[in-house]
Amino acid sequence: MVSLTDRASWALALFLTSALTIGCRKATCDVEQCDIREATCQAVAAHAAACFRGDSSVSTPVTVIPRSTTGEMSTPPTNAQVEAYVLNAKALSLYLLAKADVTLQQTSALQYQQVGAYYSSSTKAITIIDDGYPLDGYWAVAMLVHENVHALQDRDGTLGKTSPKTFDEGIAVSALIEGEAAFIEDRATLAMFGTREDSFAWNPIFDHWQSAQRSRAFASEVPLALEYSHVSYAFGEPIVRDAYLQGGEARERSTVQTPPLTTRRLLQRSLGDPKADGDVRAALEATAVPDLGAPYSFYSSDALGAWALEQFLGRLDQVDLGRTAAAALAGDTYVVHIDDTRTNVVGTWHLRFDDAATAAAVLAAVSGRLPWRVWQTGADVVLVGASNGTFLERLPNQPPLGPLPAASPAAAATTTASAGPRDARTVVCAPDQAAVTNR
Amino acid sequence: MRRSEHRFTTAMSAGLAALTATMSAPLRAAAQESNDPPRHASAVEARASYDTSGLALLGGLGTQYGSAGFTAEYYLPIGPWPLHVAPFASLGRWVIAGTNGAFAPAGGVALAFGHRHRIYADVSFGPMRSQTLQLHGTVVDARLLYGLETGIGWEYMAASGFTLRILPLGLAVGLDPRLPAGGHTAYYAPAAAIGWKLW
Repeated sequence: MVSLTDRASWALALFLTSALTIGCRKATCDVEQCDIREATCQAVAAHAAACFRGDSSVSTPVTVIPRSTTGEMSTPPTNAQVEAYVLNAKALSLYLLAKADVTLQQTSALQYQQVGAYYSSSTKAITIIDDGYPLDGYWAVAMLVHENVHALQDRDGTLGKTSPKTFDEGIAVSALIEGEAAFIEDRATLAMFGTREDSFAWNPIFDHWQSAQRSRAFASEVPLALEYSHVSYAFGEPIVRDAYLQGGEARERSTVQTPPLTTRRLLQRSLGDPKADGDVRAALEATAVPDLGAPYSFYSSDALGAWALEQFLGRLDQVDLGRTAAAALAGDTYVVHIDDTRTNVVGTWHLRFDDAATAAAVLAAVSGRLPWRVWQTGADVVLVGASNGTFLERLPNQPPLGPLPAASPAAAATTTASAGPRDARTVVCAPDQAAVTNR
Repeated sequence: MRRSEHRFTTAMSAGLAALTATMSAPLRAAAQESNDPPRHASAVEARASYDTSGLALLGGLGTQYGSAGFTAEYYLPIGPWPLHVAPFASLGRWVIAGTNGAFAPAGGVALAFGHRHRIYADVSFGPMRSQTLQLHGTVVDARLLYGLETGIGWEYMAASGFTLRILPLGLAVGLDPRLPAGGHTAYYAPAAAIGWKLW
């Protein structure tokens, strides 16, 4: 006969068995949930970032500031910058890629809303934006790990190693910088939760993430101004993870230091051939600027890239074609002319595809949709849009295209998405990476 | 009764006294009235499930049943009062949004005072909450967070063994440091179960 105390022992054993079902899986690097306002927690995050990166730790000061003070992150724009932004936005609005009347201040405010933290290589410091969320949760620690990766990138020269020449190139370069930080942030989050990195399929997560970012971009009135947050993380991290799987931390770091130079490569999850991409761009720059005649004069130039093309065609309800055409975009140039009143703009977008069939499909999709002058030459499609419709009517069917002039100071200062907190010295980070939900 | 059982019974009786002290006098009276043994009590008690030791299997909703699951309880009558102690083990399925859910084990001990209609109280250890990890909008992992639960309510047990239990007063206290607010979070935790006492 089993005594009552024996039975009670069985019940106790059952309690213990239940307790032991709590997961206890070893993480690859030590990182734990803590309050990022505390120095010990900041040290934990710094060590974790270095550990996951296969690097030695760097001590970086951390400051937490309220959201209301984020306007101090950058210097106020000059009048010239404000005017340049307005003119560029008006030109982009011809391609549905910006609101015609959006101001630099409005765009900056939108960009600041996306910022959760940033690392400044000039001050060698991390700043966390306090939105009122708990600063002792997984999310906060993971974000601090992310920013510490930027500090490590700064130390080894990754930040600033590649100087982007165009908007398209800038997004591609920053995508791998952010992609590495996001990847390590994810690894730290998994370690904190006790989840093995190989316990789930990553690619469906990336697919879902990228799809969500595409939707956000389509819903945005200024998709190019927010391209950094829409594209960099979601499309950069898969490439960095691929590199890590192929060659560990060393391959990961070398990949970030030799990034693809176009968003086309980014969307294709391919490093591509930077030299070939550069050759296409150089060839296009020889036939980028239409001869519009007086009263218009050249104002600025850029390359918008595959993501912008995808967004443009998507906004014409050509989502599938947008994906196809973006994947086949060999290169592009985008040139803005202004008239002598500095109120009317002309935007010329010269697209070169891998094949004439794609060019023909794009031509068919855009013809007759909006007041553009559009033509195809082989695998090239040229679109000319003007804020003054009567000017377009006077324009020859296919105005001659000449080479880009030497970059003017205005052009250098007014690349398409230069507004906001992003500059060469600051790496900003959007706070939508990972979430732990309690129910 | 063996000596060890007697000592345990004495301890349980003391615990029961504390429990019953919280009851109102009318409730006690009603319970006593409803639990008056029928005529030929000795013969009926020999057969009625509610007064014998034995195993019960129930399905229930509540933290002590693993959210939604089954529990096995072994009733042991103790002392001169109509009192049973019932250690139990449960296995349930915890529904976690974005996942297939998780098996949720729980275990505890209950006290039942009365015959057909009885006061029922339990204490258990088991999952209190679920926690999911999302990467970029996709749930990649989930886990259960554990703590202690206590509940009190009413149980009906027919002579045949049919059992219905409703525990409207329940409190679950998280003991897992991974819970928000430092791991010590209290939740309202009602429960209900239905099943059979097999013998």
